[in-house]
Amino acid sequence: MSLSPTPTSPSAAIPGPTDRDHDARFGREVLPLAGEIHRFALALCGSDVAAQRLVAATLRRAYRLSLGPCPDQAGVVGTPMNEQARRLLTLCRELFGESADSYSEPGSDSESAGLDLAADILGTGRVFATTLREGLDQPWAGARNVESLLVGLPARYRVPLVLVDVAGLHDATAAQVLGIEEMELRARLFRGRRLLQERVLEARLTDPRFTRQGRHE
Amino acid sequence: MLELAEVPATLPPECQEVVRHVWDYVDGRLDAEHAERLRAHIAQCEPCFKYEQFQRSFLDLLGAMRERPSASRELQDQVVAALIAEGWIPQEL
Repeated sequence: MSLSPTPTSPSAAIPGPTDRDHDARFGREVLPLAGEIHRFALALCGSDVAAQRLVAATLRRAYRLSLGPCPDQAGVVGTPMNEQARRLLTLCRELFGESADSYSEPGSDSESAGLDLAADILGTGRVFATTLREGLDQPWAGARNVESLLVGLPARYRVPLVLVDVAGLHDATAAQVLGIEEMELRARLFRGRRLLQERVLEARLTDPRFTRQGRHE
Repeated sequence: MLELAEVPATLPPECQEVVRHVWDYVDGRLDAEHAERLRAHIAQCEPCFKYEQFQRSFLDLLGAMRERPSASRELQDQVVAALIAEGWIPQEL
């Protein structure tokens, strides 16, 4: 497994015998968050291979940062769990931004989020009206492909959706992780919800198992 | 291509209010007075009740993904092995 690109030489950060306690805490407190980082990295990158590289780079950076003379100030070891997760996700996002070329990025981000929240909410009203028109009592039932549809969203909208609606972060925390204003986060979140609802519904309506014709067979 | 149905332009003002603020409502982002006004309307308006349930079930669908591990233990082991190989983390961790 390659961890390139390497930001600095590891030799400067290799811990000595006195760092064993730090290493044990890193293993106990930081490594278990690898899954959460991976989910976020997957949302950023859109591909598992790139996400794994980003997770590795994030953990390496986290380890290096926490080896400074004031580890509790500089790094992620020894901070409360939620704060630790926020710092790790922020590190992950910063690394992604620094080396975006190293991580694949499918989907177009050309659509502007804007701040037209009302239009996005009205859009979901149309989705709802469509489910009524099509007679779908449980429009999300059987939506097993929702994860692949989510990955297909432009990252601009996918990432806030993963942070808030999947990972369960508060808006303010998610906005901090992404380095954007909370209002902008809400705008992207609403756009993401609307786009995903449309895509799930479209997939549902083109699946013969759920069409009127399919139901009558 | 999916052709979405139009939301009736003649919705009563209370229903328009629900359509406009449903996400802030289900996210708990409305002030108490506003939320109570919507709650009272939703409780006695079947279409708005269905619309609110529709949105909550969508968010439940996304929230359920949280329970599924994104990264396997294998990935974590691979990452740690790679960090050890490059000298970032000592072998005994």
